[in-house]
Amino acid sequence: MILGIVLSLCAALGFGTSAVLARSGMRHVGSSTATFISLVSSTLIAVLVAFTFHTPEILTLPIGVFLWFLLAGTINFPGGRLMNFTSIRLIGASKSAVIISTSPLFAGAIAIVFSNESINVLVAIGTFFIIAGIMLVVTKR
Amino acid sequence: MNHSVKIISDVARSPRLRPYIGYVCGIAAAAIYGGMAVLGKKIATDFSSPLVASSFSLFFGLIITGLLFGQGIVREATSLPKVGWVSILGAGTASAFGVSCWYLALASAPVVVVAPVVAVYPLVTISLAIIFLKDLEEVTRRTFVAAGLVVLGVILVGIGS
Repeated sequence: MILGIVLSLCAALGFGTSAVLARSGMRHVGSSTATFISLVSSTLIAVLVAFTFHTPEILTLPIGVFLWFLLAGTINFPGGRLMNFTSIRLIGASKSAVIISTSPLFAGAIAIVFSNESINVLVAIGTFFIIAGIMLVVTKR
Repeated sequence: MNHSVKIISDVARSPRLRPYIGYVCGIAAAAIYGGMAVLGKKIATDFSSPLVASSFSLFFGLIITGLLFGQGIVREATSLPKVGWVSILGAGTASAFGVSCWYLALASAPVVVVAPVVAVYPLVTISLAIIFLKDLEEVTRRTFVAAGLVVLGVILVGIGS
């Protein structure tokens, strides 16, 4: 359990650091170039880690599965990361991080629409807090 | 795609509209990441382990991004100073480190423990921004309060769902 918490903190540190470094680097280039360059290092590390732990699985994957990876990669990176970096460049890493961290709200909404999941009191209160936080960022003058 | 980015770039040159485009892009990114959590869960449940899915998605994302923005990337990258390269490659490395730790954490602890701890990452960003981005952006108490509310909300949504 302790290892899980330490790894979770490392994940938060990785995500938090990424936005700050991206903001610093985008002093010199636009968001599409920054997205591409960041993907080079992300891909190298992720592929290395994946082959270290899952080589037998990778070698036996059916070709059709790669179409799912292609779909996910196309939506997530030229879409999600590019929008993320554009937001960081225009409003700064701190405000952007607050807005982008609301993604579980969208995941929940999609799950409710497509999986017939229901909203409970905790989700409703959480949603209220998220919207209040976003309003504080967006309405700032 | 290139055309859309050019329109966003042109509009973003207006100082008055710049923050609003930033908010819209941030919300769009959050929506895409939220949608990807659902799609990613399906891929990781039905087809492969999450780390494999993540690495190959990154690989295809790199290729598609290169194909879409190739010319502009080459032009800008050739004039990028060393410090810019280090920062942006560092951003990609930190992101991959975060994703890898996240998956490894999920293998070591239940999601109800991992998700709330990872959700504090905006507070990490804000703390680092105060230290390292002093000359680029101002972090106010209001932003801190907003981050606290969002983190609390995300934790409640995570526990509730």
